[in-house]
Amino acid sequence: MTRSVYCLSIALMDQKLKEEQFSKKIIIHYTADIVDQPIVHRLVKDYDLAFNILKARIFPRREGLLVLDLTGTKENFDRGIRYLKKAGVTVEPLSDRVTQNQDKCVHCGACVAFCSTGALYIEDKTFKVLFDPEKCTGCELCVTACPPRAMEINLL
Amino acid sequence: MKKAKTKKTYEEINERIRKGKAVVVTAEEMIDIVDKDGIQEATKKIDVVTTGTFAPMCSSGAFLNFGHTSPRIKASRIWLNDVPAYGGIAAVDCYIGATEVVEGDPLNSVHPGEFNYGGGHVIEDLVAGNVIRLRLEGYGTDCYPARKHEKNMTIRDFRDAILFNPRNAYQNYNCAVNMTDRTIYTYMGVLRPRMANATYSTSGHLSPLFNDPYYRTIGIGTKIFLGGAQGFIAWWGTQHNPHAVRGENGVPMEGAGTIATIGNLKEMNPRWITGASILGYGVSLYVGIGIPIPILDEDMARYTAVKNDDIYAQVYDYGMDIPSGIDKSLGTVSYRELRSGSITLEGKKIPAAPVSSYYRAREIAGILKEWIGKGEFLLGQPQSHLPSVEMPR
Repeated sequence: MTRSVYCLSIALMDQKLKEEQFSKKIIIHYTADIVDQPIVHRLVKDYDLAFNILKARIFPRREGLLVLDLTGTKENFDRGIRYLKKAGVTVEPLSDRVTQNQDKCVHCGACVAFCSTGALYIEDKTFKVLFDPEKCTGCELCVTACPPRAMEINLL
Repeated sequence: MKKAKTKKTYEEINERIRKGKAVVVTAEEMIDIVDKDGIQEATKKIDVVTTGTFAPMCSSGAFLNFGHTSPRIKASRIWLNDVPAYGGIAAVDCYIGATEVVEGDPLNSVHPGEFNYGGGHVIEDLVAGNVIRLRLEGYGTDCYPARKHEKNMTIRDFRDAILFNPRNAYQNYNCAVNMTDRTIYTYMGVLRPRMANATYSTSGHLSPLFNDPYYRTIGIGTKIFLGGAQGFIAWWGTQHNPHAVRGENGVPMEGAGTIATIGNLKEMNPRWITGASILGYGVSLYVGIGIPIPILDEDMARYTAVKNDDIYAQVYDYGMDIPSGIDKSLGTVSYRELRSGSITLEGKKIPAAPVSSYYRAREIAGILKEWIGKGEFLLGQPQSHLPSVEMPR
């Protein structure tokens, strides 16, 4: 009896883990030959992922980039990413492309007024300006808002 | 029996500094010391309190002498990395101002302009030892026949490079909000519509002039930390106004005193002299300043123990009022509130962000403390006082 309850709870936890929503912001780079394919559509239809487009650009030679906030179960998320890679686009976390240049930052806090997601914030006590890349949506507002130009974003 | 009140002179304190015996603390540490030991004890124990500030300070610039050329030129028009400098001083002297924008900058024609390069950046490049392109034009005289000259220089090639800032280290500054319904781009940073955010400057209880509100020890000839080197206060700053409204503790509740600073640019460090591009506004220069305050008597101990709770700033509308020249305060907020990250104005909670770096200000006060502690930095006694008002007794 107890054993079966135990097994059931394990199974439920497993199920819960599977259903727990996982979310990550990613950059997808398209090459010109596949820019016309409905790749994001497949993420929704085949992998049950919800997406929020934070940025989309197509460049003169028809290559393009897409910044997505992708949400789904961890399992589906991983499968979705595998699909993207197979489909011939490059995928990487947005957080890898946004950095706070520590040599340039003077920790004034001017950026904090611009940052709408709270990714840039002033740490209590030390009064240092810190950057949490996971909260960043890549809006790029901080780039020109920073007087010593310490925020570096390279989405290309 | 009444105990005699402690009094110290500059000579006594300097003697202790020379011997490495001076007790030096930062303005932050002084708050706790006075809290714990009381004014009397703190006056006896502490010799010097160090302060600091690091913020974009317009009204900064440098005098440069670039040496004579062959053939000689009386340079009347001068560019450093295409940023115009003022040449109406002498043949090969010029002044590069912090807010001068590089020639050909689109300015605000596409609003808000980015202002990526200007005088502040030239000064930072000089201090960093980077190569600067110097371009000169003259009208030609018998003694200075050359009309044009160009050369690459680093700061070592200049005969003299003197930072001279006519107005620095404002004793208090406005807290800015925007009451219009469009986003505005000001020297106080971006201000979102309908008072959605507030910005402020000064390092609060670490800021030099808050710790000596009547300028008793901060005067002409006071030796200071300037841009990472030892500099001096040359004069009172432009717009210096000792007559501002003051609180019971003597601390001005609005913009008041200022200082003019001078120092050898060749000895400075780009960490403390940094160009600033302020979106939609223009170019400026971050300047690091630290001022040591001798604890001559109990009054100085009391002044240097001032804390953010008792320092206030006025809130102004930078949307309509300030641009049209109306100085109408919307309210008074303490630096404790400002530092907490939000203020309450007209019942509304508004996020507040600084434009001056408290982190760097604290670092400067720490460096100055170290210099004095090691005996490397002696206090400079003011040769003359800044204009002030009567200290209430």
